Amino acid sequence: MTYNALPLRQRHDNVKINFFIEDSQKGIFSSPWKVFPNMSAIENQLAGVTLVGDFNPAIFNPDWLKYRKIITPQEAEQAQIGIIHKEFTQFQVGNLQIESSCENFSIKTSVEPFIKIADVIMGIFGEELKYTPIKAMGINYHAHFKVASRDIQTKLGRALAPLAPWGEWGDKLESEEFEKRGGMANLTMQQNDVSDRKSGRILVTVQPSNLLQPSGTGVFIAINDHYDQTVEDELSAPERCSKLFTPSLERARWILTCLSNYAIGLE
Amino acid sequence: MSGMAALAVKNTGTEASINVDLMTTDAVQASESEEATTNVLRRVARGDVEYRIKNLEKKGLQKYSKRFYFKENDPEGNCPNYIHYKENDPECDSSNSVIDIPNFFTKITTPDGSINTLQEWEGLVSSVEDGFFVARLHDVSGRRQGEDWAEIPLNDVNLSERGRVVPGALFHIIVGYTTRDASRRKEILIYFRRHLPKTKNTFQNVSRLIQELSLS
Repeated sequence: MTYNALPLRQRHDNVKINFFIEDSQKGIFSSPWKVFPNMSAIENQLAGVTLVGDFNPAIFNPDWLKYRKIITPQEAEQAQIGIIHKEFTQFQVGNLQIESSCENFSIKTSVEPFIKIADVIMGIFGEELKYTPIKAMGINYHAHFKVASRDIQTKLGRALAPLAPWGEWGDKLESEEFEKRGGMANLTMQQNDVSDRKSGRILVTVQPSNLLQPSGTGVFIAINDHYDQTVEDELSAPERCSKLFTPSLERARWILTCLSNYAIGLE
Repeated sequence: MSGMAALAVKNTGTEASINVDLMTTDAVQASESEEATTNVLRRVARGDVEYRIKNLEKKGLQKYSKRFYFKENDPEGNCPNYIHYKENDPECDSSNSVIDIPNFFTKITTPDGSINTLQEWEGLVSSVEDGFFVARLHDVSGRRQGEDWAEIPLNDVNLSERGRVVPGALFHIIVGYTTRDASRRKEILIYFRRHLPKTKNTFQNVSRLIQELSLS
């Protein structure tokens, strides 16, 4: 399938511009990672940023965000307030869900543009509350993606967590019937050496999706891109979020692609 | 209402629009009540309350009504659970905190028209012309390396965003499908960045970049 609805025109004859979406695995582009995102298989995704530090939850409310020009008056007017309290705040503005306790602050959304999260973080902590102590930051991306069948989901689970090391007990996990079949329920992989930070890690968690139907045909993946923040860091946490949010999301989708491509290879 | 959590929740319908007020009967009880409220909120944050709701739902209690209320540290033992169905439990003090639990815990709603991303570009506005702007694009979906130039009609940018279309502005183009009434269709979203970090060299860097791009 190709898609060329983008009303973009070529500017220079000598530069090839392609604005096509290809669902096939062999697209027209050469990817730097030799894989192609199978983004069309993603049924549900969510992005978010969590900050760890010392916060004053009561200050975060739609009116304050509007007054500081971080959200629009329309967004503030339509905000859905859960709780605003000195120890815990939760509300939704636009498509952003904002929560804060005294130790954590988080923004998440399941609706594009995800990059808006980085802008709000920068607006709050990079401009208005720039002296807020922040110790760590996590850029999170969650997605559910489809696989071809229940058998493929099982094969993927078996590849990630083989039954052989479990000996005789492992045999009990196997079954012809899908409903009785056991196996991997949760797996987390960790990358400790990440070049773009002095201290931090990437955690990737994989589970069978409990969202996609029919059951057994989906995979849930959660990527936590964790940055420890120290006083020696050149960039503050909000600056880092603004600068690295897009690369982090790009990398998360690449990780997802690696896994989904492997699942496709099992067909 | 000594020792009671004091949350008044206004239910405005199926939309999770809830107002929370702290209520105290007098100044003496204020601090105690506030502390109790804080304890409730801590449990909300931990998910303990939600867990109890699920248990109540399993027991079929929710089907009678959506109105529950919360009693903190019940000394009489009249309310073995933290959450009670009001009409079925008359011994519980109705002046106790009232919280419309099911609506309170309504999860974030995904509005119709939310985009499931198929491809995304990050762009830098090079120049703004009559009816369109010229931009350099970088694919951030991992589909291809390198950059492209494009002319993008201003009509494709929301009216509220057009003031941001200036040379040096960063933006994202997202192409994806939306689900509306069980049918899918492709959509384009153009979002201009705001609240970008201000560094000493930002202006010089952008100016130099634009100059370089204009010459290339």
